[in-house]
Amino acid sequence: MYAIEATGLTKSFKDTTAVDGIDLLVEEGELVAMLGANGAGKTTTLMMLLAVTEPDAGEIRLLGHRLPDERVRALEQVSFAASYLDMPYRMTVKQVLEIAARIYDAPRSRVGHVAELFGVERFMKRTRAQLSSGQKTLVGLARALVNRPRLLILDEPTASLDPDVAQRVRETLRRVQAEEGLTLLVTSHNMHDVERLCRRVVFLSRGRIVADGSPGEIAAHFGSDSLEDTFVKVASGGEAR
Amino acid sequence: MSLRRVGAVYRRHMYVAIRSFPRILDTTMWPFVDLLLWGLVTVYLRDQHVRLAAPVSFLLGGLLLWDIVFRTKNQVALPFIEEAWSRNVILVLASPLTATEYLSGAMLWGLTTVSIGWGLMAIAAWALFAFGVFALGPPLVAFMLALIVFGVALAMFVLGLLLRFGEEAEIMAWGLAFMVLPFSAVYYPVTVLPGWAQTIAATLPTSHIFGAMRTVLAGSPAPWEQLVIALALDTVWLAAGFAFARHMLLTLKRRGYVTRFI
Repeated sequence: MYAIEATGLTKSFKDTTAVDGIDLLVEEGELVAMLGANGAGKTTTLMMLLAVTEPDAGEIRLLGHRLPDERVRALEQVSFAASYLDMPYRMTVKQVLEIAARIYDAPRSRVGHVAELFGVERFMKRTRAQLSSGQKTLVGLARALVNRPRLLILDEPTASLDPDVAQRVRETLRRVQAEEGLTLLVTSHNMHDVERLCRRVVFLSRGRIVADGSPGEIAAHFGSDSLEDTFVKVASGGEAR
Repeated sequence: MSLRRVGAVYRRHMYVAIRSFPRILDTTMWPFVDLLLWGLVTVYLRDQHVRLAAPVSFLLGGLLLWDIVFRTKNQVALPFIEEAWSRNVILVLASPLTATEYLSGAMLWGLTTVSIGWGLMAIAAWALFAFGVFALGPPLVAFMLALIVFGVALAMFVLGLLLRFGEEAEIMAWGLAFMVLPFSAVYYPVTVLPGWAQTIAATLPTSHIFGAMRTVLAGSPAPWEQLVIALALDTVWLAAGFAFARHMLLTLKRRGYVTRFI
């Protein structure tokens, strides 16, 4: 079964085509990174996959449920976290996790479990103002896993984390993926993150998929030594070898 | 519709409100200050033996009932504004919450705060100025219902504007009620208004309700036909409000305006 089946996804804003006929199939249990320079169409693609933005053309199925008709049934099994989202004002970490558990009908025991998973159990009573940006990112990740999602979509998940914490997050995500068969779609500008976490990389440039394969395959495809070199090459308009 | 998810939205906003001193002030203190201001004006007018065509109780009655519209509009719209302030709109849209569930939870919480604030105001009006709003009798229930429905309708227009223009529409969120205030004939009869304004007033449920309120306070029987007209107009305004908010939500999704909330 596919966790994501997107065919012919297209989205334009006025005169700009942000996403131009993307076809993306992600099997359940895959760890996929979506890379591309700023403006390549990553976030627009994610917003369409989450039914937040409607595509101009194309079809999306998440875990077999067609969007937007079966939006609720699909999104009950999907979660999302991003570096640009924040915690609500004045709510404690515990309350944020409890509300998420209620929205997704998750057992309350999951609150303690995910808090422990990301090491946020130490500041369950703190509010947004009492947390660093890295700690808030960890809370966002814990919140995203509270419903034991089958598909987790992350937009720049480790953007504000120290290297050691980012490393721990990657390990945690890999462990959850191995234990629960989670599907992960992640965007990142951190190539280190991607190489360590994902087995498949999808490169976007000007709204199109320009490469799709393992990090090694992608690098070879562009004649680069590393994913980072590939990123620079694609971002500056380089062609495949 | 999932009642569990409705309850989650209710709790989410309750958690925020009970930890926020400014929010507690907004619910309790400002209505009280409003009441004090107008109450003292009525006391002054009474003490001066000013010859007025209308009893001063019209002012306090108008204030108390107008506050229902104003607060319902604010408190029902506030949860969504709160999501925008917290950069949380995308999480709401990307969750399994439906628009109906979100609005139901937000509305229930908004009406809870309106009830608390308005209850305190009514008690203060009775204790400080011997104005018992319950002297309006059974029509009071109909007045309140009609005003709450209109407040919710205004909140839907505010929500639509926020969805369309993002946080910059916030100023309209606070000001919308003041745009209908002059036409609602809260403190004066509709006949005071010029002809064109009377035409606008006739389309607002509020003008009918405040007219009915003055009739009741003057000791005449409740003009139920005015209340029926008000409730019928409410239905139209509410349907238009929901249609506008829904249209703006679909526009946001179609045109990708969600980036305004990032």
